[in-house]
Amino acid sequence: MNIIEMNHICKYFHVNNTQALDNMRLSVKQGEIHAIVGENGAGKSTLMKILHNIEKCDSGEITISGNTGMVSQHFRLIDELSILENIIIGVEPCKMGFLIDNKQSKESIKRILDKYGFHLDINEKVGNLSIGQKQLVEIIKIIFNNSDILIFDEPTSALSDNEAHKLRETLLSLKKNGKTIIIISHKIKDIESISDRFTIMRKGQYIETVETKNVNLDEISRHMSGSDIVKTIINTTNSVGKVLYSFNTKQLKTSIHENEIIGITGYGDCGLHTLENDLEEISLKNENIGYVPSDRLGKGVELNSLLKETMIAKKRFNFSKIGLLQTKRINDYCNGLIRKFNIKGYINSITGTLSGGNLQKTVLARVLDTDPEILVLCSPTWGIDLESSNNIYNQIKLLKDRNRGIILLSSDIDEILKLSNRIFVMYKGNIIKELKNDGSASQEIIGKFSSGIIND
Amino acid sequence: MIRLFKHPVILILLLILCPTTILIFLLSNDPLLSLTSFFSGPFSNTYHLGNMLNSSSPLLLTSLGAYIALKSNSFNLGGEGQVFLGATITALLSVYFDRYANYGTLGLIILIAIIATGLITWLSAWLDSRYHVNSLISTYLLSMATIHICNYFITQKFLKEGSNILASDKINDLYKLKNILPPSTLSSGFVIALVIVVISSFILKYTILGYEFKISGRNTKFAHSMGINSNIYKISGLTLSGSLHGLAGVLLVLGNHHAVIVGFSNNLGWNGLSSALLAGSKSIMIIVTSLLYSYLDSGSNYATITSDLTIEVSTIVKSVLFFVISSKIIKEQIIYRNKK
Repeated sequence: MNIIEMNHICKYFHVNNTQALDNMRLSVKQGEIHAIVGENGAGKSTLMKILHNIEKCDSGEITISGNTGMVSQHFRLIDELSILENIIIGVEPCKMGFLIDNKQSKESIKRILDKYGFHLDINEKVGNLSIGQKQLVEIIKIIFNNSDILIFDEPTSALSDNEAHKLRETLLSLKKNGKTIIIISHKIKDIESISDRFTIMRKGQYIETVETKNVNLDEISRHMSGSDIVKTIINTTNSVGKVLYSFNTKQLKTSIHENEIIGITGYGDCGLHTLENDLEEISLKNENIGYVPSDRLGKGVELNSLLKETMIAKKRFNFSKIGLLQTKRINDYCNGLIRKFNIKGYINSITGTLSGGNLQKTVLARVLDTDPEILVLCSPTWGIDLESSNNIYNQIKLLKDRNRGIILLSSDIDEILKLSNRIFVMYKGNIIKELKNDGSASQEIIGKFSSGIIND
Repeated sequence: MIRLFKHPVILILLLILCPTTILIFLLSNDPLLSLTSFFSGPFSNTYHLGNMLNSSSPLLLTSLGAYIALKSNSFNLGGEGQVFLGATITALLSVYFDRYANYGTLGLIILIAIIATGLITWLSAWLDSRYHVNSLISTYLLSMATIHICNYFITQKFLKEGSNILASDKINDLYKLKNILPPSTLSSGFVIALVIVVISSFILKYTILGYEFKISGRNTKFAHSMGINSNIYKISGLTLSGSLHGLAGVLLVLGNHHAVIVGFSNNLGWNGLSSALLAGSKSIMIIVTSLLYSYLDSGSNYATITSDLTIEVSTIVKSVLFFVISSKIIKEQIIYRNKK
């Protein structure tokens, strides 16, 4: 039986003149885990917002038999309040019509915790929780609201591998208890390990719905982009060249060589962020070090400025003569970058109207065009679809082959293993282990080090 | 057709026309006469036209000042006090040093007025960057204190003898800005203000200085990452904003009133802020919005003389306009929607 039936859904966005959804359809069976896959800007989130009634569609029919609840990428929790208070917000059980019945809510939350096997201290402040735990609070909140259909928008993108694994178990437990789950994800792993069926979208259109067990991994990615992706393979055991720079920060004491990628990884609050700040300061003082920030929307681009204003930011002095900006040269240069890096956007459009993948391309274009000797690259493919990620890996490969050194900071262990010659693992603010990536390093080993287990 | 009504200019004109017409029909016994005098009055002869332009010259500068503060991501709510301080310093120093009246002294006096007003906003900016004191609050409080201090000097030390208004003596004839459209009061101050706005807009739009200033105001994190010292731009933005307000006060004395009168800066600061908000992202639009505000004021002045309207009509219309544009949602989703 289908719990959700959506037909002929159309949605047009005037702001950037795009047809976000074009005659889209979706049917979800009662009690299944249904994944929605597609590239950035395919319209997945818009479809889910329409389903959850946050946005209205221009035309189409929707039949839903049950309540929906949504866990979005950005949590809607109040840090200052306890887990309990966050969960009952808006639906507080009352006695005598106005007193909050804490006892009753505690009991019903406890029932939920027991039923699904969650472990949380409901009196803890939400501000003290990890990202994974916050997400769990969001899930409990939805269950508390008696939702039968749970929608997840990229739930694993902000989580470490460990937490993502836990989340997948949670989702399976929800399914066992009769909930219907819809999940948007870029990660093949999410789709193949937990979903029953998935629907592929491309440019706002329905492509097909398939049973997960009938397809293999590569096929999923091909279905998503509509073309076979030639995977970039980077040799991680090549011999390196001469020393380019010796880092001597509080955490990182090592030298980067020509033709080398150093990968630094760790879970959650392990100090990657502090290290990134230190590296940023070094890059500001040294013209030969390029820096691609993990905070792409804040530091990488300026969302409210024109695309050309964003692009020239670092090289701005090259485009001025006696203090005057040379508009024609700027336009030519930026049009050149757009062509060279295949960015979908116009030099005079507001930067913020570009899609996530194109924003990251813009950041890379801006940095790579200065042709740095050393590149500090932080979470380069976070939240970016497969095709664009692959594109970025290809750029990294080209750069490395030109005898450049690259420092890669990422909590995505797959990515670290794929690219790095040497791997550094951080734990509680320090680098606790250096590994050679010659086949001996694996997900499990790095995972162990990341959890602080060195001696085994 | 509906698209046409969504155009920002049309919408703003409608926002002015509708409340004015409604008000006039409610308040006036002869609505048609009032309506024509309100809208055509300022253009009826050179006298009214010149006066309108003259009243817009300090407004041009306060609008520019408010605009620059907004673009450096701070709020200058102390415009009233800064205009008044600039005017008071100019008038009182001119009167006090009347014996030494020459252009050199005048230059010095103007410089002191600009520096003094700049210092006041610099203090707010410094407090903001050092102790995170919100400039919105500190500029306002400092300005309120300034007004009372100025009032003390005007009414206690420099009050014109035998005057029935609270004003200082007139400044030396040498200092008065040249009248360029007799019989109106239009002085060369209008041209000065216009030139300053045009030059500032040019700098903001076409120079690397303007580029860095804009980027710093929009996003400090990005600016820092690009090696731009956004703190300096933030502080100098607010300081410059104060100086421009001070300069507006200077013009008010030299070009309009030739003396300082208690309360004569009459909403120049607030009107500047709202005309800067109305100008939106383009600084050159300040000229249009400032003229629009002066037009509303003189229309209402003219209608007061020729018909039975009261002077408050323009205040109400400006309030409606300010209310609508200060709503971020209305501004972003309706008025400036087409620009995206």
